Amino acid sequence: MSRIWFFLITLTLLFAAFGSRDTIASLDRAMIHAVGIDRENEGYRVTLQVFRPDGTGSETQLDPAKANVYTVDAAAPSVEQAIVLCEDKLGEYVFIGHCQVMLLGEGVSPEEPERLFAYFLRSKESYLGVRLAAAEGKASELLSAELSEGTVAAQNILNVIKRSAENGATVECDLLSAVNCGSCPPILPLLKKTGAPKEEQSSDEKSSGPEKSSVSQLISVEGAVAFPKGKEPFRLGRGECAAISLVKGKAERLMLPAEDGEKPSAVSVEFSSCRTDARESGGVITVSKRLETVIRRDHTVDVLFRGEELEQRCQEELIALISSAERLSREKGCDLFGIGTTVRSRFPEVWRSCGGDTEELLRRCVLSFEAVCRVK
Amino acid sequence: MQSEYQTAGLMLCFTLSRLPVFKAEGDSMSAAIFGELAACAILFGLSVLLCKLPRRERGGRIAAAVCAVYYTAALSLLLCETVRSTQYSFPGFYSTAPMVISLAAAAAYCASMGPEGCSRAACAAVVMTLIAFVLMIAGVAGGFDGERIEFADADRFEQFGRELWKSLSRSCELPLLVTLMRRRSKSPVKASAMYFFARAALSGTAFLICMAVLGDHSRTGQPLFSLAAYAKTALIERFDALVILFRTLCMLISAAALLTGLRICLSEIREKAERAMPLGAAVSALSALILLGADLSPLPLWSTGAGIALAAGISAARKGRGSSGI
Repeated sequence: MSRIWFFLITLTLLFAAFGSRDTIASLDRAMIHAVGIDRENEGYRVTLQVFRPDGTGSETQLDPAKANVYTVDAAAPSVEQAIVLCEDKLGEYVFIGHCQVMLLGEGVSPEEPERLFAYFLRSKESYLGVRLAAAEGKASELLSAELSEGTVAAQNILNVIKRSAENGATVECDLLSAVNCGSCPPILPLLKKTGAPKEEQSSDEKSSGPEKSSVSQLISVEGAVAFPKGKEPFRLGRGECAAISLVKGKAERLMLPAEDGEKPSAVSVEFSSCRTDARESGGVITVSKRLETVIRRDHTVDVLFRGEELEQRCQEELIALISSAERLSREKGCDLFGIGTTVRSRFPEVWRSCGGDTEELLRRCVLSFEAVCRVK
Repeated sequence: MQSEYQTAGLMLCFTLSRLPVFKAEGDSMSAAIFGELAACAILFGLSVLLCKLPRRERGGRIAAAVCAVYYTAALSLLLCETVRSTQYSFPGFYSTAPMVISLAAAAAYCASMGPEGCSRAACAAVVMTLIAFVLMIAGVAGGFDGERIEFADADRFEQFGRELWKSLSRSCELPLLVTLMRRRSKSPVKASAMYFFARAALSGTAFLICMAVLGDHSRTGQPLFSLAAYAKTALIERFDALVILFRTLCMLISAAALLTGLRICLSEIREKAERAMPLGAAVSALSALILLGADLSPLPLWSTGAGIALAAGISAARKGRGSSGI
């Protein structure tokens, strides 16, 4: 009897295989590693960085450092239409499940992420953790850059963002965070293509023909950009990024200047915890954040510094960074520290009475920060 | 006789097959948590009450007929939900009719193991699913923000009522526990307690994690499926395919349990007519009324009907183990 059932199930599954439509084999799809979105006229120009699976680099062993990606771009009134045009150019369907990073060029704002990223949010293939970043200039130029290391460009961009965020140099943002930001504006790391001149050419090379200038290109992080809804985006410096990352618990460590007499030096401060306390009194909400950090005791700390003085200096430095970020937050009327999430969670009536107005929320909130630094 | 752990495991398969396709009835995910907890409490009390009542050796043909109708409706709902959620996950990728028929045939094959075999398989499925669930939570731990959890939405009471009704109407395993499993479990009350506690803990944890990680995004689509797509660990990059795998496995075992109940009811109906057992008929009629509150999509019903007929025919053709009825 079991053989008849097994046969029936197998036969049914066989019919299921024949019955399926729109099955797209993986070989017929173009694997997208990175997406660039630029503003063009009234629409968007989308650049897709496609992975080329035919070996690492070129088809021969002569130039193995050649990039194994290529780009294709198209312009259309919406991002979705532009991606469809890219598919037409590629001659195959795209697979966005492995997209590592999305770059937004100047003029493109993620203040309405449900509209801008509708294609990606709707697709079940897309990864909600795809990193978002803002490009200085055109995103397409950044994606087309031939990097000197010869690694896959999208992976390189991702690593640069991750390391910078861990060191407090920028603020990381993924697709889910952008959709979920609430009162806090989307804050994206700002990427820039930089060039470092190579060594001077020898006299033989100079006499042989026209002068060639070769530049090794790198991608670097230049702080971050905040995109408040209905307002002009503004830049955040390294200090503000460090403060925001530490308070939100996203940065792992930070190098703080610690002057040793007349010789400047720096110590690595590691994030430990950030506790939030909120109280309401007379319609005013006081949000207190206590940031605790640790300086690991090592040879440099023991020899060059005195423990208590070092702790005091680092605490003052941290408070200065956080105060600078808070001043910027009030000046721009933006909730950079995500206070709205705290108010919404603990004082929902106050949150509802503000009606989503961030400036009204900031008016009704008093922020106080305390930084504690311990040498351990 | 099967142990209470096996009975609870079989019941838990129903919960695990429903969890990934959960969708909040409104804007309040917190209402879903409380709705589920309240439903668990109500159903636990009901199951203890019904399990403690004395039962007859044979339920009677009328009770068996009512139970058969209920199990058929529950099986149809289970298959419809699985198909709809698979099509949500992979739109335009799978065809509905073959999927329903193949699932029904696979469920019939599982049902051929008998209730004890199904229960043992259910325990294994539950353990594997819980391991995957724990790994998934580890994969999203970095995005956990306790301040995204809020319990004070504006219309939470209205949504609580809707969530409670939905949880009650989806709980087709309760009549199965009270009728079929009651005869086969060493301690049905203990099994019921274990099951409803595990269900409350699992559902509450899943919804809380969804709120804490996804935030407002948990109010759209299927939040647990979105969470699975977002989870990333060192070994497994995305868990959505794993969720579909285990959800289908749990669904198959749940469908097999319902099919076993259906087969026993059919064999009961074929027996000589006896005095009807009012309790069994009352439980089944009440359950059928509650099930009417569930959302039955008419679209795949024709293929579901064919699948159920095929599966029931295969199941009933095989001689059952023991002759205990409803």
